[in-house]
Amino acid sequence: MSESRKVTYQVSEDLVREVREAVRDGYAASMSRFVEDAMRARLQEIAQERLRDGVRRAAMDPLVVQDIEAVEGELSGVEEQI
Amino acid sequence: MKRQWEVYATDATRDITFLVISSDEVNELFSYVTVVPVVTRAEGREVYPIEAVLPVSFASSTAGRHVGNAEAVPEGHSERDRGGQDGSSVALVHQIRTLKANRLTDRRGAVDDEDARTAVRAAMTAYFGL
Repeated sequence: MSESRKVTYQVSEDLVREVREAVRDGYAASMSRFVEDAMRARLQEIAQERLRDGVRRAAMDPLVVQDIEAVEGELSGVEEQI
Repeated sequence: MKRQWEVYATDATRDITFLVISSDEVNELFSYVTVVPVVTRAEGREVYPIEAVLPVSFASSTAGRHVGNAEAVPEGHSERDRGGQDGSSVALVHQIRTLKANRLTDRRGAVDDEDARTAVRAAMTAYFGL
């Protein structure tokens, strides 16, 4: 894990209060840890969204379809012999 | 024995080559290898997260290349022979296959470059959801 540094963001009072309660109840070791975990979780979601979007676009890309058809065409004889 | 990261064509294939991705421990003991088909990157071809760019073409006119070795273009071949629009190929990880090893007859080179290998690994991780 890389070195941590102090940053400032503006969030609503209500949210801060809820997070403090969650930390106080033991759901995270500290406010900083809570925020870091939340950021990592969201980044993971974004990575999944990017992957889904990429796969969706690949499936609809005529050049990809063309490559897949080329592979299937060239392999038809080879795969039958397995 | 076929080795991981080597690239082959088969007797039956002409424009498609195959990157061996099964491990050498497996390749040594099984008569099958798992491969990722590699195609020349067409002009305007986007590359998606379940694919990887290889910076060299393994098409028949450029046989014997090693990705990352920066070999010179052989006599009689122009820079265009390096492959598609920019001389690159696309490893179609989503078209992964297991083939009889003896079907891979024509060694076209190998992917030696660690960045290219990392790109293939990343595409496999994305494809399999690992």
